[in-house]
Amino acid sequence: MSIGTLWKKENAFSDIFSWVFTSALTVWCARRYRLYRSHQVGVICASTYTLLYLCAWIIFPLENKPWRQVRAEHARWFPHIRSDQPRMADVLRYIVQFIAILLISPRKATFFSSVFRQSQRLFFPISNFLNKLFNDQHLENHLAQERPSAGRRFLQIILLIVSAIIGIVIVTQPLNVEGQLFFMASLWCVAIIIKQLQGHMATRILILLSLLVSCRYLWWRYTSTLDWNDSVSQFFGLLLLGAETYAWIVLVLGYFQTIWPLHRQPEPLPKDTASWPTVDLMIPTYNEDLSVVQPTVYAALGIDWPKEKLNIYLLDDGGRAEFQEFAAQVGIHYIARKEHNHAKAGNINHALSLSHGELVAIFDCDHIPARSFLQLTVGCFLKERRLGVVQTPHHFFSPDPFERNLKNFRQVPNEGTLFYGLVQDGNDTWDGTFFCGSCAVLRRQALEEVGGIAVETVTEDAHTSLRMHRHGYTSAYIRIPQAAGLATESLSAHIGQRIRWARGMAQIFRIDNPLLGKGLKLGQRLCYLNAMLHFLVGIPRLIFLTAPLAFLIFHAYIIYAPATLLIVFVLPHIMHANLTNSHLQGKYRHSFWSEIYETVLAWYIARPTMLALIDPKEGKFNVTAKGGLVDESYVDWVISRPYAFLVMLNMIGLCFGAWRLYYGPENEISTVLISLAWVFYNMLIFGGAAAVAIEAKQQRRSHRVEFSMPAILLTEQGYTIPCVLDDYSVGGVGIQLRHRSSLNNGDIVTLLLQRGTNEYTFRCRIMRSEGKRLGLSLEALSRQDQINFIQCTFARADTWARWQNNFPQDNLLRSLRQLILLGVYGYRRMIDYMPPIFSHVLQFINFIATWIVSFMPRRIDGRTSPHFTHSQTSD
Amino acid sequence: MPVIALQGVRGGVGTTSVAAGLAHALHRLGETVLVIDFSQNNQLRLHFSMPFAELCGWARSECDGHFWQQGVVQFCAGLDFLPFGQLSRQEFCLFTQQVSLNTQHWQDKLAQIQASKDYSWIVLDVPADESILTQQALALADNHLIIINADANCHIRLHQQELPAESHFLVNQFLPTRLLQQDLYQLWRKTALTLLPLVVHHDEAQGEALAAKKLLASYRADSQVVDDLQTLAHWCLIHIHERQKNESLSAQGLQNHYAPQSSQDTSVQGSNFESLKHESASEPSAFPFVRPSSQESL
Repeated sequence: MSIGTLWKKENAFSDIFSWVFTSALTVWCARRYRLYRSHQVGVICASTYTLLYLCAWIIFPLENKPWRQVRAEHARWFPHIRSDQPRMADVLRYIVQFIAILLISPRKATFFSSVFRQSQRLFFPISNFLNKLFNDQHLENHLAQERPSAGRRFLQIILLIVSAIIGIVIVTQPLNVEGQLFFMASLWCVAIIIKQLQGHMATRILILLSLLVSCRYLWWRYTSTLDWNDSVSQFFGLLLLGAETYAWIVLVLGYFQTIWPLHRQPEPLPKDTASWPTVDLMIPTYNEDLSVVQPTVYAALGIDWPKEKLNIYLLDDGGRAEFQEFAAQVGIHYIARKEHNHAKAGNINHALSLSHGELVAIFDCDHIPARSFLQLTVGCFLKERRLGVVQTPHHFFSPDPFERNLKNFRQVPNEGTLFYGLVQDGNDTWDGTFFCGSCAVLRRQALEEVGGIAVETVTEDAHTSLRMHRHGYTSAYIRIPQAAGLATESLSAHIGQRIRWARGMAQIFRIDNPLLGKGLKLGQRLCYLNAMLHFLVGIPRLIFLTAPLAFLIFHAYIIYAPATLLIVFVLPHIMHANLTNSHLQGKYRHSFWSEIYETVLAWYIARPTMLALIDPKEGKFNVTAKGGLVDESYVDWVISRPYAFLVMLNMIGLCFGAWRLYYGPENEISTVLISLAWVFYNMLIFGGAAAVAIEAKQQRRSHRVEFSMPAILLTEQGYTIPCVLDDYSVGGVGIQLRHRSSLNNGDIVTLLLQRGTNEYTFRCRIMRSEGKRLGLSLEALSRQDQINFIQCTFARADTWARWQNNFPQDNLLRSLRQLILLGVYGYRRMIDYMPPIFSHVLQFINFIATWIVSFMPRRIDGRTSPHFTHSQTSD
Repeated sequence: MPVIALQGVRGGVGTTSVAAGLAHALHRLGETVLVIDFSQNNQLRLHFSMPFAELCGWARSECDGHFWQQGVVQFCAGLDFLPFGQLSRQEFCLFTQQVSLNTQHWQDKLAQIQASKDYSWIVLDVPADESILTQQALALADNHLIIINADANCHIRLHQQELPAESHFLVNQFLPTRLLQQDLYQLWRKTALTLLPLVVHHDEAQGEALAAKKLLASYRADSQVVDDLQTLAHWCLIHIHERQKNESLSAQGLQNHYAPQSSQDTSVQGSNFESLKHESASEPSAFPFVRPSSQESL
């Protein structure tokens, strides 16, 4: 009998064993061996580990209580190792993890965290005192309300001049490396303490510190970092300096814009409904499906407003008979036009000529309004006679391409959150709220005075509100989501939409520059300026993404300064800007996400904005496609081509960097290292951008909205069962029962939903039932039922109220970690979609890398059972 | 101590089950409750799982010359009920005559119960007739809850019948799938009817619970009706209890110096009543102490 056939035999292992050991041990080992084998572990590996297991029992007292518990909690202590399915190198993993556990006990604080905590305790009395000082309500009211007397005003002016002089001295004072380092370190300490505080005062001090540091950096850059001797260096250096100046302006304007968000509250309406104004609610559509428009119309029908004072218009630029019929069925006005000039703006202007309400509410055809929309917005118009526009946030209940492709829907604030959560609210302080094309109410008189919706540019909305502001009308922003819609369904569509916005903003910048012309206050000018500059980000961003390559490849001294000096100037600048922005925007955008958003767009908006700046007449309105499906995951190579090119370029830069490191002059090594770090950072961002370009599947046509409200289920047997509605979509709902139900898939039930005092019934079929959770699909609803369903769900006043409350506050380090993971994820995903030759090589590299990483010790879940720790310490 | 009278606008609207359910829901909120059956139909007891063969009740006791208190049955700690007791037709006629002679008939009993301070709530299940006993029962209560169904019959009665002043209306057995029910409910909401801001839904389990001689909450806890009754109990707690507290607070200014004496009085009477009940509870034949677990069916 050969040894091979012996191994194949079922009991071969125990046969061999039984020659050496007792029978009980043999049985024990055989059981172990068979366990491994049943989990597809190879023969050699299984026998090795059986022996190792035996050795472990011999060496360690595994039968003791603490060891027993370690074995019971194997998955917690060794999360990356499966005890029943060992791999050959697991011994090493056990050892590494074991050492890691011994060194970094999850119970004991590490050295660094204890130092950190100690220092925090040290600062605590200081920050406590400052908190009291800053948040003195009495003082704040005093400062806000009292009109300064002449003497006081004089004093203020003197103070302002003195502090300006001090500021100039601070910014322009040349310092050597040690001096600069010491100065920046002390400012950083102050910033760290201030960051712990709440309130406006803390924010303003942080902004002041950041401005000082950044101004100092820019001054230094302008005065002492340009190499005028070498034309190549001069060229690249000036490009980078231009980009940095742009970034600095945007930073300063951004601080200005968001320094004091207004949080405007809705104005109450008078009791007497007769005094409420008449409203025309307009829903422009062009080529969208009727199924997209229907929910919006149904919800509009249920808006709480006197019926005789609300006219709903469906503005169909596609002139479709189907839409006309639908409008007639539900009893709303239908307007189509013969000519189709000026797209959406023209469509609305045409409808304005046919309607006559005092106010005009505009909804994109996929934005479903809540029933409270008008009651929350119109009050402002009654209070303020010169109010031209009230804007509410655009909220999306489907994931945008970033959220969908990065699979972080509702975990990280999305791209729009910053604008609608903070920027618009900040604009409102300066009376500079923009009209955003939808979810807004406008005063007809104001619209007529500025000649209707502006048609000269492709962003008709912002241009219209700019004109209203010029005519002396005011604006308001109510930061309560009162409508929700569908986000763009693909990255290309998303980029297309942003290209249009960017081009439109550049057009306005040229033909109706907010800095010039009459009628605007300084604050408004700056708010509009920042909005427009924001879209000119393309070229500066591309410069930042390629700047280190100018040195690595062309050996151009883009920043003509010693590496150490560069570090003590640039790092504080970046750190302060990030810290302050994290403090200001932390709830609305997490650190580093702006970089990814901008990087994805940069290439595409660079050209159109430049063209529009040169010739603003160029360009047409493209409609943003919505409500579509993505059948299969794919990489949008067309979209990601420029980024693939830039990644290649950076790879070449890395090679050059390595070459320079070995063969370049000694004194340049630190400069090369800085450039390499910069390239790595850029590569990470490209990885994130690449991850976005991998279009994930989107097969669900109707997006689910998570919500929680009581509902009732009526079974066919006549039982009435209370339940909680967990989520809903246009076609169905998910509910949670209190107990496991006896209902089966396919059963017909009636769902009862409440709206006000009414209860509405919907026939449903059970599609899936998992324990207490049921998935229901709505059965053949009549038109009235559809209206009722939308009004009971999407159009509820509180539906979107939880918006943005779920996001954690930004944490710089955590966000950085996320960015790194995201970048790596992007590259790894990309490999799957590469041509085979590349992908085999890359997959091999990936495999090796994953294998090496698998030895890394893992974090242990901090929740230790108290019993266990006790026994551990007692041993 | 609030006394709530529950009366159907007609028979068969589910008054007795609401009374039993409300009492149980109040009890679940930590209140002590006594439910009293005023209907000769004597059905309340069956909601509380009393064996069908047991005939006792307050009317039965009085006919037999016993103390009426002997009829009180404890369902569980803090929730007692007082069944009417089974009377034959002649007995009932005689009993009605007796009752009509003594207008203070139930006032005294209520005073005794109130003095005992055993209960924070008294719920009366009053039949939908015009009898003398019904009138007396209604006169006892300080809150009237009229139970209606959303149907044409009740709608007509609401316009024809004389209804107690300052009463609230509660829609029972509401089935929103029925168009007429929806329409009537909306109509009543819009008219001046003092409808409670809640309804009690229709549930097949309600009928099954009576057939099983159980409270609905014990028979089937995940019924919407249980939730509805719980909401009703909350409503009572907020609107009736709070109102009475406020009234008593405002009255306190006047009655302050009488307070010590009256509390002494009640304590004496209270102990008296308590002892009576206690004594009676030790006699199993006259005082069926029925546990909710008894499984006899009709």
